[in-house]
Amino acid sequence: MTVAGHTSDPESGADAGRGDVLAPGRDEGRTERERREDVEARYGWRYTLGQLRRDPTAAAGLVVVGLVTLVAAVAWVDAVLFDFLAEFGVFAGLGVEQYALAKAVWTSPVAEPAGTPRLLPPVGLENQFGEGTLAHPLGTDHRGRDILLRLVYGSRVAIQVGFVAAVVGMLGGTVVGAVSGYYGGRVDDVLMRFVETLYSIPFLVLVLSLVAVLGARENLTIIMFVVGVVYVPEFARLIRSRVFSVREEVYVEAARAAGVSTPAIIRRHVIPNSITPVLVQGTLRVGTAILTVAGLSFLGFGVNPPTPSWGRMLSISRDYMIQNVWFSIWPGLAILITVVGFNLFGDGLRDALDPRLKN
Amino acid sequence: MSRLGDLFGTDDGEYHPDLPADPDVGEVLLRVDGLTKHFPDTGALGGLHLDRDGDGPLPLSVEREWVRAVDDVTFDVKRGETLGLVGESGCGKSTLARTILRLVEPTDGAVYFRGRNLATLGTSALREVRQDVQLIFQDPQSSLNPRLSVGRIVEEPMRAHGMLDEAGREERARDLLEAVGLDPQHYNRYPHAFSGGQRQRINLARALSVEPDLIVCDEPVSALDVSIQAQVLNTMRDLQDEFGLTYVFIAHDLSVIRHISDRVAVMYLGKVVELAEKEELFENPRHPYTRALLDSIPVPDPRASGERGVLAGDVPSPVDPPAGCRFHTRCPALIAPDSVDLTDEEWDAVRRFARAVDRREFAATDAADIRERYFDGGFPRGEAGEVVKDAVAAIERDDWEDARSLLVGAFVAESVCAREDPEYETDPEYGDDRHFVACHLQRETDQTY
Amino acid sequence: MHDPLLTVEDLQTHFFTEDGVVRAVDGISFDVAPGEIVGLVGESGAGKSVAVRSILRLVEDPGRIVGGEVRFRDQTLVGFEDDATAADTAGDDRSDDPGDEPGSQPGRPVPRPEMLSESAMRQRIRGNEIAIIFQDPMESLNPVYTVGGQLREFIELNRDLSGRAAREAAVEMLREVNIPDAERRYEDHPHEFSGGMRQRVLIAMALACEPSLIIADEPTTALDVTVEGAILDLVRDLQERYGTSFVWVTHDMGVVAEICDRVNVMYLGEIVEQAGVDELFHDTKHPYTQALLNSIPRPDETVEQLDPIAGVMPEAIDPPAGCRFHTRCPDAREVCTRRNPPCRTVVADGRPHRAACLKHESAFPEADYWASRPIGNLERPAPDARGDGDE
Repeated sequence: MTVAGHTSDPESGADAGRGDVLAPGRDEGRTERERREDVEARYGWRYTLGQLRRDPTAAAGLVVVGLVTLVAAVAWVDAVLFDFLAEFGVFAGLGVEQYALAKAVWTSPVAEPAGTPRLLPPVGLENQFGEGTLAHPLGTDHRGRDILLRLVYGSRVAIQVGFVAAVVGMLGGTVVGAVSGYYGGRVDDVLMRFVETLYSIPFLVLVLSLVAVLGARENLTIIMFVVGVVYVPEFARLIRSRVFSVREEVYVEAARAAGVSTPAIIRRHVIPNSITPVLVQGTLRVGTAILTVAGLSFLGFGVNPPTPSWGRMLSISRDYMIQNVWFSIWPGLAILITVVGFNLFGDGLRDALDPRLKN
Repeated sequence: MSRLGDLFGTDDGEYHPDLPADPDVGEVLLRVDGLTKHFPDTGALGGLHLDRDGDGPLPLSVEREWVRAVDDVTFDVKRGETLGLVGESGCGKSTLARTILRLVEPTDGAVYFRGRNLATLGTSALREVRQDVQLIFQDPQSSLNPRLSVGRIVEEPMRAHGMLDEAGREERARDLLEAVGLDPQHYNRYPHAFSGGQRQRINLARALSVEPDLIVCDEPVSALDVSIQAQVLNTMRDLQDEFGLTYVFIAHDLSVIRHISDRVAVMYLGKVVELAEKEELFENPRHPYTRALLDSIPVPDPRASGERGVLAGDVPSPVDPPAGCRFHTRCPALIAPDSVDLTDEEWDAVRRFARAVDRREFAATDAADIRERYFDGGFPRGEAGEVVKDAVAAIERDDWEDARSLLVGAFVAESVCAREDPEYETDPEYGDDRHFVACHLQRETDQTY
Repeated sequence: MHDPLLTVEDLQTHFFTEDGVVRAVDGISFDVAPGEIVGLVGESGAGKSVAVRSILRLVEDPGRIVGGEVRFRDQTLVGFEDDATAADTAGDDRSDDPGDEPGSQPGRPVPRPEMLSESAMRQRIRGNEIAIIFQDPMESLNPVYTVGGQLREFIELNRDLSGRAAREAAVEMLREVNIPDAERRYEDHPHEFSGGMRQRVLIAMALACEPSLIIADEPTTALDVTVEGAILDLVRDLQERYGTSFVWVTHDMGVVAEICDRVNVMYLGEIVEQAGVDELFHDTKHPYTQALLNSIPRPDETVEQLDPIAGVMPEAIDPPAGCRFHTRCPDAREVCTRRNPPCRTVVADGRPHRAACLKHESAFPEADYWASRPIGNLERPAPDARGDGDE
């Protein structure tokens, strides 16, 4: 296929086509690849992931987020799956001890196990030669329940809470902000005053009073939504400011001139072009939401006692700090790693989606 | 009633009794009648003004000022023609385009498209009409949503108007890409992959997709390189022939306008000052502003450069445009008031002097110097001379404001140019269409419009 | 004839990017006589802005001047030791790993000892001997300070004046560029000036130190025609009174015809034609110039059909082999795909008329253009229209 150098490149036709828009001076130094990058890829998922992979901290964040999410997903389907597999004799070949481990890992750690020593430190420390070490690699809590297992199950709550709260905040904020920003005027005034009212109340106070008013001290679902609602204002303001500029874009006017209806314009043109900062902020908010709900659990709001959650574990471990410090370290570490993971990922996402910020 | 209709989008608009709903070539497709658009002046303080003399408790007054972007504009566009609309930045041509399409609501006036008034149309009826009137924008970069593929962009108007099914739309989009000179295979590409000229072709394809009758083009080639400009202009012409399109072509470049238009309207500060067939307007311009505009274009031929009558001063603010003829504050041919009895030479000198004082073009000096500079043979006689002398005395006192108001009061404000809105129609030298001129110089020879 | 004020010889400015070298300015030569307005004209991407910035050594990373000479009077603004090495390294660089650090390639051209230091450029040349005016007058003025204040600061910085004297000089300069009521406008901020007035302020600033050369980079492109006309008149007038030379960058053939004495036409980093303004328009020697002139609509006569240049400008990173214009040239022949002609004198009386086109057999006897086979560019569909069907 190589006939005459530059013409054989399948891209060359299109690239040549771009030649005539070069701004004088400024664009002359830009390379083909830079231009091609602005071209197709800047918006695609593949491009974004590629950018993320190039940024080591973001990649680390992505790995953490992926792992925690995976663990939580596994915890989700645990018991069902274990019984299902046991039914078909998958674990038949295992020895007693391995079966116990498998059972412990796979099934719900809610019930108090019989005959397990309480407050066992993790493997590799004092109990490495003790009884049942393999079954409790991170030790046990004050009731003899396996900490690893409870962490794994706690991740379910954490991830669920983080995602639900962030998504509620993003959805609510996007709708409020997009409508407010696109219509402007009276609509904007009303919606923004409402949003500012929410914004003016201290965060924790607002959450606690909402939870109290709704009488949902131990209802995790409501708590997740409340945290989400409390995030609405910041998302709304974020997207509103973007929408303000996007709605002035000529392509929005072009769509109006073509007779496209307003909801369709908001859906097809305005939101896709203003959503980027919201996605980034959303990722960061997953981390904060996890932290918040952990804090609420620590204060005694949220999950009912037998259900494992990191915040609650931390809260209980306070009383046993002297006997076994690991009991409080592990859930703390889990929260730390997860939140940092989401933050790194969010920052990386921001850089990947908006390369201008980086340079 | 119309308000209620508007709310539910059912108002059908009024019909003009004399305009055809389905005009043939040469009949009126679009009539813009007294169209006016005033914007509230949103300054930094949102209309809040410092008013030290006010009687309120605070030295502030909330007074809405209005930017008169388009003021009482009237013209017809015939089916199959290209009407060029030319003017400098800020003259209101882009606002006019948007007001015709009702992308901004008109303050007053009517826009009859196929005999139906778009200005009073309800929202859903308006949406339907937008199938027949399309707009092309100046900036080929920002007028395409970067997140939609070219195919989607071209299909969007069809989708909005429920034209064809999914497959039919795709087929038509590919055909259109080909018609505007792009490769149909580029259907799935994104706008970034195209050059400015190609993006403008995508814009064309989008506009054509719903088989419009009229395309309003707002500076469609201004952002393009000259050689690309020629390609796009040629394509637009070919498409006009092929699809029987009517263009309203807005530009600031008179060369482009001369190339593409059949008739040309010149705008200044929100008003049409002259409208005639192309040859007539370029070869026989009657309005002093049109002349100044034509004189100042650099001609790409070093042997052609003649002397240029440079327009002094800036365009006045559209918030408070001059009364009467809006060009009278800069007009080199301001008509002497009837009360002033001067020879033409004397009037020229007085006018030049008044202008110079108005703009403070010179530093204050003594009377002798001013006389030498502006009144070669001495100050004019009579009442006018007295005013001039008073003004000179004021300048000697360094009271420019006083000098200015003396001169403006005596010579400018009294002129017919500052008192009456000019509207004249004359017989053309070229072609047979009427020649509209908004200049009082036409008053002796021509009948009122 | 006077000695030239400014001489540019084989100037090369390349941009070292990840993917290779963009030869934005690739060996251009021209000179400017005292009191002359020299045009640099071309479409966007031709390299004209980079060229004039290279004269003042204002090229920013990743761009670098890699060869050639710029002499201003007896001073060397740009001067490099060995152009051949520079070209070699540039050539090598194209095949290098794109990830290679551009700053660290071997054989970087060595500046000659007489080349002015950066601080000498700053103190003696820029703003002082050579001033530059940019396209956008708003971006060139600081919106926070008054126009007069900025002008005064500039004068204080570059001339031996201060306080009241500097202020008076500033007001005088504003008057000089016909800003009415200069005394009062001195106190205004840039946003209170119209575009044309701002451009006048920049011209005043450029003139403030009475430079012998002003570089104007598309100074009227953003202005309305009537304003542009007034600015062109002003420049002509100032040029006559001060005897300042100009290098005038523009894409507008009308402006060129109006204001320039000599013109250089640029295409893809090279000067393809160099002539007095009248010869350029009426005795055009290069097909690109001709095509450019044919493609513009005229204000003074009705042209029914425009004759656009086929296709689009190729990428500067990968210019066509041979003559760079051959892909779009109606006169291209087979030899044009192989040889890239330098700009040679084709008409010698008076100041030489140069063109870089092989069809001028007297200047390029070795090419044997007329014996070569035409490649028939005109029959091919424009690449713009049918980009790449082979995806």
